[in-house]
Amino acid sequence: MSIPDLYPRLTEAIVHAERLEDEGRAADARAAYVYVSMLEEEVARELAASDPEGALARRGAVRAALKAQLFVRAAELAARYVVEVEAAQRSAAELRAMEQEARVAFEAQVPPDVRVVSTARYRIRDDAA
Amino acid sequence: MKLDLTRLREVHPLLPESTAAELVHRAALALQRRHRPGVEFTATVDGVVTTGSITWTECAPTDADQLDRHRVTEDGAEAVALSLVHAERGWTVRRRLQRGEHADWLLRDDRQGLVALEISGTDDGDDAVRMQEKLAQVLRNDDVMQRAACVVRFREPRATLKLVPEAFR
Repeated sequence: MSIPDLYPRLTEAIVHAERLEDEGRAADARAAYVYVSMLEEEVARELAASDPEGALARRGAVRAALKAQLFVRAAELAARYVVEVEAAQRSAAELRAMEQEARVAFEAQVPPDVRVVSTARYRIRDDAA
Repeated sequence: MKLDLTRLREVHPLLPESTAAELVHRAALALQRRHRPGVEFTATVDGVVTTGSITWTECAPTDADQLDRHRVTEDGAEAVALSLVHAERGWTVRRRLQRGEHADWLLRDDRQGLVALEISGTDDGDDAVRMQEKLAQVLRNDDVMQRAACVVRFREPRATLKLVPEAFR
């Protein structure tokens, strides 16, 4: 399912679960939060951990599982997402290091011996001379 | 500025139809405590005051008998605030946020930037104090670049929208 399909369902599910919670219907609210957690997990599958909306969905899947009192599910999701987030952070750190390496290399670059001429005068021939 | 609550779903396509209908119905009930559709409406957006009108489809006042008054005010404020942020800023709803995320809604601006929006409503309470509370709340959301709070007061009616300055990040 795509994000434009998932988001309206998710909004509706959250509004419904919070309403039940406010009305003190604890058992119904817990059931509703199971569905919220599943939808947040679906969104998390679609979006990278490094994406702010992906990060929100990962937290949302765990948060809703806790509200549903599905503690094993909450722990498993949290453990999985921590790995994804750490991988994204590692990747970001590596990219930052590579950016720095490229900048240092550029600064240290020895000026070329050959003068670069922006417009060269030559003609491309199809046949060999 | 003319806010037409009946167009809420049209301007926020990712808002579920049932949710939009419910919020608009609650807004109608909250507004109808004192006003009729087309009433003058004042919006203060980041300190700039604009006057216009707000319109909705009238509903039976008895509808409110079965609903919690506070819930009607809060839900009604969401309809008005979401309508206002689209009219004034071009923001559109992405999704509802769960409690604990320090904002009610995640929206997107016209440059694809994300906005966390916290909304509150009051019938005739102190909206300035409420705004300070809501700004403090949304300040704790650090997922997105833009954070804002909107407080709606139904007595006049009026609404205030404030963005958290980037310096507070």
